[in-house]
Amino acid sequence: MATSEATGRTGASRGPSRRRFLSGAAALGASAALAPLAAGRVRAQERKTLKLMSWEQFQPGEKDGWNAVLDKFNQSQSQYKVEWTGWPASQYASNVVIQAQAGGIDADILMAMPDLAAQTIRKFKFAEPLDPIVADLGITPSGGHAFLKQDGKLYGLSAIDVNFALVYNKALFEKAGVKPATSADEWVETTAKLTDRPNQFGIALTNTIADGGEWWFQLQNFCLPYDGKWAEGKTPLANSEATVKGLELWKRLYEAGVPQGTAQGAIMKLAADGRVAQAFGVNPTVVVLRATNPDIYPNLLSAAPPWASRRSLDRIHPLMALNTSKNVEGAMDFIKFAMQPDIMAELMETNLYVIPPYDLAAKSEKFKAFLADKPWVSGFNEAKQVSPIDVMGDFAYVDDQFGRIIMQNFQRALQPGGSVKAAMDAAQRQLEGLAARI
Amino acid sequence: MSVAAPSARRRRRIAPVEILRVAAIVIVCAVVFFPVYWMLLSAIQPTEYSLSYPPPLVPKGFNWAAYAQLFADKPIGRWLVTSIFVALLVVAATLLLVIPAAYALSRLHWTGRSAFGLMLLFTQMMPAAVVVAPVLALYRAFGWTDNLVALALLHTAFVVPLCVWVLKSSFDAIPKEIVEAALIDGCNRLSVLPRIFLPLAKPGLVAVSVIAFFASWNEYLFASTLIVRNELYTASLGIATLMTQLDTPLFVLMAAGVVFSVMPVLFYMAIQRHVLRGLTAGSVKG
Repeated sequence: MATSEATGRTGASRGPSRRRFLSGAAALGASAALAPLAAGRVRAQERKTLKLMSWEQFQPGEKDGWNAVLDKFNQSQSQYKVEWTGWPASQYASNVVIQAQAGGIDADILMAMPDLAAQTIRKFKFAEPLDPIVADLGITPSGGHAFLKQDGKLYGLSAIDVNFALVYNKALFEKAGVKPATSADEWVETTAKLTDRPNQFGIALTNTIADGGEWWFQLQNFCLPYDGKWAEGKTPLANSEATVKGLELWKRLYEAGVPQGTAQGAIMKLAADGRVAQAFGVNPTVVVLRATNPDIYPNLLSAAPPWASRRSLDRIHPLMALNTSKNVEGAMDFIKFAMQPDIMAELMETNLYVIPPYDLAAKSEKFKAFLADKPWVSGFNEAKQVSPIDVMGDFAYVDDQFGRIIMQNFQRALQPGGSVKAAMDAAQRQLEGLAARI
Repeated sequence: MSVAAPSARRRRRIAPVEILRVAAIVIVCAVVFFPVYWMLLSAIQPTEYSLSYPPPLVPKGFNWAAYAQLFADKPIGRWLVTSIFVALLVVAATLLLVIPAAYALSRLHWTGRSAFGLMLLFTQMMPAAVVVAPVLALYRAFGWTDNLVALALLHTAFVVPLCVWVLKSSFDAIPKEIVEAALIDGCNRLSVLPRIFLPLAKPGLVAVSVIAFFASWNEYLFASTLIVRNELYTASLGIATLMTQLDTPLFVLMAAGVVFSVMPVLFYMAIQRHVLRGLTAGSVKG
């Protein structure tokens, strides 16, 4: 006691020493870092916390709409409270798979990309059937939900459904005196006309392996212009005539008007600045461009994929209740809440989602009015939807590995004098090796 | 005159080698520093210049909008504090484990010493990606996910083997005679460590601290697997949230890169003299 008093007096007379100051600062820093932990524990005691694993909390232009859904659910509930967990989209699937391989997914509700959803249902068997929700709400899920069914049960309901079409800048098209293409050859021609390097580019296509996820996301569509597939069951079809012709089309576009070697982020910035005339993208492309530059939004329109079949990939990102959760009932409650016509209509309006999980227009006048007021959705609606599972065969479970093999080989074909056929022959051999391992 | 002529000949003989040496240094420095320079440039000039062709190599105006957006939209201060907290824990834990281990490997004679040293090196040969799922399963079983102290423990586990070898080199360089004199003067095998080894191996300790700090500061894979609550994000995790689907705000990301780099760069500049001494300690022992 005497010692401490003596120390106290010394400290008071000289002021705080440097060591005491530093230790105080360190304690403050540590408490600041740990404070959220303590706060989290207090909240958890009040209601059961449901973890919604997703990437949407990071998405510009979309997170606000989803936060509103979570807030409404939390306000409507006395038993449960939903909180976000997860990672940004670029790291999402790999992290969820790591969790699944470690024995379970640390969440109650999972939002997943199509290939990840298929794995969760068929490989890991972590999903709970959602048929009771469908029956309670009296809804009929859209045809694209087929890949979410197994043994007659439905394991996921679409939270976000996106498909590919041609998104274009009306002002730049009018200035160049061209219209959206309706055939592959016309597409290359208009792209060239719309290009004035380095000031303006005819088309935005991701083209660097550093943005591999985004590149494969787009490139996966290019088996469709000539009615090909990437694989049938365990047989890869990378060097089939239809697939090679599709990739040759991509290469012609690349040469005609792509900002070559440019990162995806820079391409989107160029598009938002009005320096890219068109993109082959999903409907959230419009959302992102609007978030980056609201002035460009009135100029954006869409057209169907410029090939005869008009087929393009339709990617359903479902919400799933995880059977590994201790709160399966709560997870089902949340999904049911989010699927209610009013809630879903408001989410779709806020986030500019245009493909509903079921016939929402028949159940919500608000959504019907919203769609009627969106001239840029026509192209997306004209596209004929194909599931990634339909074109990937059994490789749907190793989609990222498949894509990497294609891109690594295809890169060689983009060099001067490079042959798409030779590159895809090499890819085919590697994919046959991959087939033996899956 | 007769002295100047050989000197001039020598200069002529050396000149091509010197030129090559300087050229090599310039090329390597350009390759290493250009991305960093481009990051700095893109983070401070208006975006239209960075996206123009040819890109300007000197700033054409200043625009701090990327920094403003970064600090307005993201809790980057909290991320940095969390990263510092974890990295300092890793430094403390590493020193605690490495000092006795390096001493035991350097100066104590026991059966299996060489095998143990080699085994430590073998642990460095396993890619982190291979063990990430088992580590997650283990941490889940202990209830250690979303726990910064547990994350620091894992970072420590991965950095300790390398640091043991670095510090062992420093301990090896301390002359045997000094240790023997200390033993004669009354020290025992244990007390000689704090009284003789630690004061003389300070550069080695600094080097170990730097290695541990940087390993933790930059680590992403385990952090992204074990920490999913946004409030507990380290800086490496937080910055990755800028890369979203369909769009990455490139210039905000560049600004974040600059902010993320400043602290370690300052830290490294302050102690680089000790680091070099520490890393080379023992290399000319004999």
